[in-house]
Amino acid sequence: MNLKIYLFDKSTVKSDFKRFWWVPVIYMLILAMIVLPKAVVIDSVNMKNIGVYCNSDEGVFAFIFSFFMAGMVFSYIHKGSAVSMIHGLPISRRTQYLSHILSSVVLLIIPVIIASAVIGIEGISQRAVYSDAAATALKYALKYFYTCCIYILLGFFITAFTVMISGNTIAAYLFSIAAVIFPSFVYYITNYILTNNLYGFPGIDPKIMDYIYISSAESMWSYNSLWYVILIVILFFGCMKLYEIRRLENYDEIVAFNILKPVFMFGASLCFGLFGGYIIYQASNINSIFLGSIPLGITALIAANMINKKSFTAKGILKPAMLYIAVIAAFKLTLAYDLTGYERRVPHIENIESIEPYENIIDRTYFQYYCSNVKAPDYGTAKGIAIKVTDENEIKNISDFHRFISDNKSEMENNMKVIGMKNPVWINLKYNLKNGKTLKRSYTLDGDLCGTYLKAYYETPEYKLAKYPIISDSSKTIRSVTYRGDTKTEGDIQLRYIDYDKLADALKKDIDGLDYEIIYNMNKGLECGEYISINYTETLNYEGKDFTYSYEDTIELNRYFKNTLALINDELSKYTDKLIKEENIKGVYMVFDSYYDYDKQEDTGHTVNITNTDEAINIFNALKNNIYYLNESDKNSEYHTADITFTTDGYTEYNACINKPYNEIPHEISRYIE
Amino acid sequence: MIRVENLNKSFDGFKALDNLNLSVKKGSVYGLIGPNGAGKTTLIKNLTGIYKPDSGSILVENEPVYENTYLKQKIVYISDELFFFTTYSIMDMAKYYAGIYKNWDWNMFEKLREIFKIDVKRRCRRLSKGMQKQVSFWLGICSRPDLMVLDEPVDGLDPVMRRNTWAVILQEVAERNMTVLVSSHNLRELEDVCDHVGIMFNGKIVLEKALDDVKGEIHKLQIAFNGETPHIFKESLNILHSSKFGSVETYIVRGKTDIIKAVCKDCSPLLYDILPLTLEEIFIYELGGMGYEFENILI
Repeated sequence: MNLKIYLFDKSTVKSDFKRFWWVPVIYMLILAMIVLPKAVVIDSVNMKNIGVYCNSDEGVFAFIFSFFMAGMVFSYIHKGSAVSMIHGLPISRRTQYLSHILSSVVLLIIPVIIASAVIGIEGISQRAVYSDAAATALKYALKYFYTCCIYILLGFFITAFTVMISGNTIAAYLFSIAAVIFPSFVYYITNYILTNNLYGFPGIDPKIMDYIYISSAESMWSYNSLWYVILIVILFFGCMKLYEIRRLENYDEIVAFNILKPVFMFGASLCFGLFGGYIIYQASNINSIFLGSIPLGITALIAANMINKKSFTAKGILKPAMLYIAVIAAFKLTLAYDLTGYERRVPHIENIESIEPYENIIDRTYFQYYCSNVKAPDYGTAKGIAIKVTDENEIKNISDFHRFISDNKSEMENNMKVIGMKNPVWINLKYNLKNGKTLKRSYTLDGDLCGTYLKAYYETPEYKLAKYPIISDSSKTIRSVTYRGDTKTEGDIQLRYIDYDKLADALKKDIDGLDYEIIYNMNKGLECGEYISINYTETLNYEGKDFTYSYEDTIELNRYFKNTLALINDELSKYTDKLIKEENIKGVYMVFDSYYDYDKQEDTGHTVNITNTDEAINIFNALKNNIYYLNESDKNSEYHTADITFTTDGYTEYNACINKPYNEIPHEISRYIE
Repeated sequence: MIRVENLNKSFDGFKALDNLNLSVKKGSVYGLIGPNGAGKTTLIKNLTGIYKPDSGSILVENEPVYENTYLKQKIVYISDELFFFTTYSIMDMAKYYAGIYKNWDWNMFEKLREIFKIDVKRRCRRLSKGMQKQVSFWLGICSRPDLMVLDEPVDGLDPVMRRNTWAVILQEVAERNMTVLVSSHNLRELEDVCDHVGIMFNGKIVLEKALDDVKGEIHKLQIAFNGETPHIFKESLNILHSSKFGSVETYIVRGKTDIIKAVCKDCSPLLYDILPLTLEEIFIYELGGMGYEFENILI
């Protein structure tokens, strides 16, 4: 009779300490070489950003060491002789399991405790110089400790899980690595397949990866890490159960549980098949991930079957192969014929509360900086509002546009293949429905085919707000303005004397005056002429705290920015030393209508090389003075591109480019077009 | 001591143990013999709680053995494939076992040190196969089990060490009434130490008896007749095997000695002699009747 049930066995724990003492020693040495020196030499200035200086580890080594530890500690269940010896002893499987976990966690946690203590103590020692040093360092030490503990347990139990389901230690490690990268693989492959095969698919939000892979102590110290804790608990009990029910005679099988063998077989074939299809697409540009997935998928199926049966045989592979092909074919048919109705789904107007149609425009990088070691919230979160269209008429117009896109799928898709990206228009739609749900779609279309529907899309005040956020009503501080004009200045010029308030007013006036046709033509790509980059800050209050965000908006100026250009040109007169002097021009080299011919595998285009200085200067002046040239009597509006390089005596070159209709190109240049 | 009833165990569709029944008395030395692939090791691993049976029961001292840590305190299993921790010396292994087996006897450890004469500081993995076997016996005996299960125990030991090892084991049997279940192909050796024997074939125990009873049931009869062998002779006896060399016929006969003698006398042979069989011969002729035969093969 069992009179007592012991959770841990002292001999097993002692044995693990004796056999694996070297693991924490090596871990400690690595921490001592990489992490601790930065913590020790940190000064008062750097202490403010202690997270930055100590993040070379952030739990990565904890994960790696626990990964290996689990494999070593449980590797005995993969050897016949060890199985006989260990399980012949009077120790229950549960006790064995718990004892190994206890010993492993204790061994791995020791270096983490030491490292965290050093960080904390170093912070305390800096308090004479920087008053918050102790609190900052202790806080970070606690976050670091927590992060490492999570990664120790996560790495350990993921590997323990694969050790339990496998009968081979190397296979277990490979399964464990596969388990870690699997979410990333699923994300990229799914995103790729659906983006290329589902009309309107907006892509999977990449933020989901931030939740799955939490990669810093700061990020870990949040509610996001709770799901890691839940996963650890599930794996803890799952591994225990697996160990208790595992048939020890399967010690030399790659997959130790018969019920998992088909899962392994089909899992391997799907993963390798889809990956193979992706590689074929990358190599040959053939978008047939499904056709491409058949050869590698079947090969993986056969290989997995051989591994399961432990023999070089393809016997019994026909049915699984047919099933695999059937699954791939079913998936392909579902997407090709839109059996789920995804592509045809356009919400009814009465169900729409608002539309956010300009996410792709406003989604740009910005800089945020830390206030007192507190990470600023995401701009969108702090701003509290997205740019939404709520006017009923505008909603109806955009919805009709969406329906048009959906109804003309074939034409839209075919034209994009034929025409390529000549006049691309990117449309991102996010519907906020009255039932609380959202619906997202994303399209890349030929703008010329969209007709007047684009007018509805571009002529909302929200569009201008999205494209030129500087005109929004929130309080801003302009810090600097930089100008670049290819045919005016030698490089970028910071406009030190310009009146920022006047500039802001001029910009707002000019932008307000832009109509649909102007915006559409601008989006087609005007000549690369003049730009201003405005660096400004915006302070937002979020949850009682002020957070300052810094941006740099680059605005292309064209003939429609009359007020702004007048101000800029007046300013430029103060920088004569920076302006390009025509006497420096010696020659000009022009390439018209250049593109890469994939059939001939070479660049094509018409090249003109002018060495006559006077002619080159004529062309230079034509570009400089006639940026907004228009010959109204010439009806030739065929678009042409030109890459123009002005050469000088030295190494300096001035570059300009044109992408305009023929009748808008100055005659001095257009006469060279074939 | 051990009672196994209707034990079944399969591996991937292959039935290794097929409704196996076995009984081992306390204090006996039970020899488990059988051809290769009969299922001996599988049975042993089920018996020692390493494998879980598919069905049936295994009771040791009337208690199921699987995951029974209290019961397994009294069982020591010495496998034919030995395992020691990589960096462990003999003393380290002894301490490990001492921490696990509550009945561990350090005095016995010191006594056996005199017999096995191996430096306890030596790493087990660095020892020869024979020495490793000695170490495993050493550790097993010091654990003072009530049941010792041995799989190919003396394989790799020199004759002197084999004798010493068996002497120690049998002394434990005599002094503490320890039960021993031993599986081996060395039938000549088993014959000297076992008092019970079980012959296993195709996952079943086909014969299980006290060794004396087994030997008493099957005999070798050498007989010579003047002329042809009488029909009544062959009809009256349960003949397992027959052969002839010159005029002397040799029969392997199942039955009691006095009955065989009576039949012989009735047939008036020129001479006859009843000889005992070795365990090896019993094994060969018993399994021959079940289809596992020795054949005179010339290639």
